[in-house]
Amino acid sequence: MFQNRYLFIFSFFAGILFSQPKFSIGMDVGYYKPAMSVSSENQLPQASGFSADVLPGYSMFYQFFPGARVGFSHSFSIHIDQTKSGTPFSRIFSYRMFILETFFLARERLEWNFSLAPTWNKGSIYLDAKGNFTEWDIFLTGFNDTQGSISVISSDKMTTYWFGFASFIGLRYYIRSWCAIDIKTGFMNNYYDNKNWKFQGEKVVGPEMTISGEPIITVKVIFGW
Amino acid sequence: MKVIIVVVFILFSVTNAKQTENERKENPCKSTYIKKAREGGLRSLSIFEMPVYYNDVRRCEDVIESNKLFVDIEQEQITEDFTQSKQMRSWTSTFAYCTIIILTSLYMDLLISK
Repeated sequence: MFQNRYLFIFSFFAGILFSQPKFSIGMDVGYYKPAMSVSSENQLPQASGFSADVLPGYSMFYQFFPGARVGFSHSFSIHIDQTKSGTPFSRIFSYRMFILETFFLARERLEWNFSLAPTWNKGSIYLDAKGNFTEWDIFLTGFNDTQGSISVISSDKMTTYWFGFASFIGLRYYIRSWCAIDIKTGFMNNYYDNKNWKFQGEKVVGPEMTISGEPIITVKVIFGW
Repeated sequence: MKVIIVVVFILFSVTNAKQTENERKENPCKSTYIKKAREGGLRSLSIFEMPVYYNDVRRCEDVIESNKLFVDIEQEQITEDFTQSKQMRSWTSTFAYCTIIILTSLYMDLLISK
C-alpha cells in the first residue's frame, strides 16, 4: 500500500500525535536479586546496591482496546567498576519486555493491572584493556622514534542474548487524569545460558548467573493521555 | 504538484492557527481547547493540544481567579474513566486470570524449591 516505508512510519506517528490517542510513557525503577558468580577464579568485581539489584528504565504503552494496553519496557542493570586486576570494566544487562496488559478501575483513580510479557534480553561486558602492539612500535621506529613501546588501550565487548518471560500484577493510582504512580510485583523467567556469549564473532563462555526465576518489584511514574 | 499541495496545506494551517492564537490572546478562557475539553472531556485533546490547553488554563485561572472549572473538568474525566473501565470487557478478564495463575504458580514454585 505504501511504497515508501518512511511515509508509512510518518503516517503512523502522525496518527498517534494528532488524534486522540491513549498513549502513555513512564519512567520506572525496579528491584530484583540476581546472583552472579564472583569467585577467586574470575576477574568480576563484586557488585552491590544500585549496580547489582536496581533496574532503572522506561516504558511506553498504547491502549488499543477498552481495558487493554500493549507496550514496551526497557530496564537496565549497570555496573561500572574495575576488574580485580585493575582494568576498567562495565557490565550492562538490558531487559526488553513486549508487554500485553489488561486493567480495570476498582475505584476512582485506583487501577488494577495484569501483564504478561515475552522478553528479549541482552548482556554486554566491556573491558578497556591496555596492551603493547608491536605493529605500532615498528611503525614509530620507522620515523626514528626512540621512546620505546607505548601502551595502547583496546576497548571491546562480549555480548549475549537470551529469551525470557515476565508476568506482573500492578496497582496504579492516578494523581491527575494524566499522571499516575504504578507499583507492580512480578516474576521474570530468564533462559540465560553462560555458554552463549560472543566475543569478536567467536562463541565464548561468560559468567554464571542465577536469574532463571527472579521475583521483581517496580515503581513507575506514568504520564499519559 | 506535490510541493504546491504541501505548501497550501502548511499555509492554511498557519493562517488558521494565527486566527485562533489572536482569540486566545484576547481572552484565554474562550480558548477552543478549553471549550473542547469542557464539551468532550480531557481525552478529546490530542498530545499536541494538551500543553496549549494547560497553558490556557493557567492564564484563564489568573483572569477569573478561580480553578474550580478546571478541577471539575478533571474530576469529570476521572469519573468518566472509572465508568468506562470499572469492569473488564471481553477477553481481558481471561487474560487477567491467566496472569494471576501464572504468577501464583511461579511464586509457589519458588517457595517450594527453597
